[in-house]
Amino acid sequence: MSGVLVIAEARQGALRDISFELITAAREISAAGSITVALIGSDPGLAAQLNATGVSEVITIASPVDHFEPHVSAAAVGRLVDELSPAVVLAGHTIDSLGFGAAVAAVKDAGFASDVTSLAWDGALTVQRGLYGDKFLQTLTFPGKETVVILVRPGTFGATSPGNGSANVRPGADVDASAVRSRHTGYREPEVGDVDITKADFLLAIGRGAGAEDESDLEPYYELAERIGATLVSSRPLVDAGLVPSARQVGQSGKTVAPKVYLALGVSGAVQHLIGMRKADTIIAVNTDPSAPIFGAAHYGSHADLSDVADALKDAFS
Amino acid sequence: MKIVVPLKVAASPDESAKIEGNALDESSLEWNLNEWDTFSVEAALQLSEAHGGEVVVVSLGGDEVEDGLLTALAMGADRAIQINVEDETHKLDAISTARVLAKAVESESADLILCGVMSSDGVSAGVGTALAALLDLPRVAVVNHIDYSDGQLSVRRELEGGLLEEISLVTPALLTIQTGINEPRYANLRGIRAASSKPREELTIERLGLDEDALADGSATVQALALPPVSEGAEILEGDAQDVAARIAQIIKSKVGS
Repeated sequence: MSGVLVIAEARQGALRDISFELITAAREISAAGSITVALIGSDPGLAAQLNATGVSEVITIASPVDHFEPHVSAAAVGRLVDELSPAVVLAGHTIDSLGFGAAVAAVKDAGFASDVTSLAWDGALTVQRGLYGDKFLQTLTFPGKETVVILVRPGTFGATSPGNGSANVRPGADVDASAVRSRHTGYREPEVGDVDITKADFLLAIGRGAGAEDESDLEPYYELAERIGATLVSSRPLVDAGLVPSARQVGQSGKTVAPKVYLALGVSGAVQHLIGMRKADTIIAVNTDPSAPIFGAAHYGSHADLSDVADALKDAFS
Repeated sequence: MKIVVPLKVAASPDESAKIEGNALDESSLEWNLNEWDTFSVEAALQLSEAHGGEVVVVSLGGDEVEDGLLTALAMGADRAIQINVEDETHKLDAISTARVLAKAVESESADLILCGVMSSDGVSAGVGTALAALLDLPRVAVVNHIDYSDGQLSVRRELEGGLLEEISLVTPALLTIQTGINEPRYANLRGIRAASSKPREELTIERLGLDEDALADGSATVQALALPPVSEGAEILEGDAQDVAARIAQIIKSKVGS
């Protein structure tokens, strides 16, 4: 058992960043053996980009359907595991991979860990992942497992530059049409709201800690935003509760923003939220929970009561 | 239609949480029905109300599991299966959990299995997809809309950046359910009273023909649990709310300009 098999990810005709982040991750455990990248069910023309430094082989696998299909991916990865006996399979902790990663691990009786943030190889694989909203860090090993399937958290590793490699690029065996068990019928683009939060210089973000139970509870925050010249955005829970329109959601399933200032009130900082805002120039976080992960991303923080700070801030801008 | 909903009762550590060996001190843990699973229960109830049928909830774990199942029964589920993990030290990982659930629910021949996308404590997001594979069911992960008619499912998968993908598949099938798909109901008093008289079956892993010790070895071995390394992190602004607001105002003005 040796080698690292990377499962590339593409959508709507383009490779996603995670593909190149996974190649970086694979290079960090290059002692496990050579790196093979698999491109499943996508335009084989994209393979040239995956031929990056450190990659030995790129295998393109044709799918009977035009779009990502989790059962096709599971079948393709399962067969590559049989053929190549890789020590490690790396895929993204992404929506696509959540549809097949654990399936491959269960069927192949492989080791499995998801949302992984660090990897090391010392004759065997050791990984780390966050638990309880990243308040704790777990270290895992996989004794007795010939292959380990790892889903890597997006944005954890820098992306390897596309191309420039010296890999052998070849087609693998096609996946049979009988593997297909669901049908793509279309995409729906995200809702366009009354405001484009990606264009604003200054965002006021509110989270679950704002304690809002209905829309009227949010009025003071909209007023505050207007007073201080910010655009109001939120983390997922307030959008799920129907209190804030999805066009104002920051995070993995919402918008990615990079304003000059991001003022977060009562936002705990779940990783899905941090992915969407960590590129802001200056992040200020107010949260009464000193162990909230948002403080790891913020430049300035306060543990003061957020409604007191909000009131005082309103006065400071009057 | 018969809908099976696997549930997890998830742990959240309080501020005093201490690490004991490779786990957290049990006394610092509060147990609640996993947030994602409140949405999958609600989705199942809405489908059974619209199309008729039965909602069966199933969970495995220690004593904490009973309350979670009762919550789901009080919301309106019809029947519960509780699988007791005999050895309290056995914290089964996602793949092992799926193996137990597969054994427990295969004889139910469900039309639909609805799992939460993930649990708030383990955050593996692996149980549903592994369970579908073990039961050889077609699956869609991270669903935030379901239409059902005569064995046909039209669902939406929530992709990164808010993009949605529309997918059709036929039952029997398994979906993993994202938060926000619906508004989970609260159990009312009548529901709570009714819950305790609804059918509940108790099983053990051994009675399902599985070896608990072997499952505990699972798909990974926990070597350590630690606090994350302290990042440089934020400069903490001192003083009362007035002082903090004054500093924040100063930072905003210098960075945004006004």
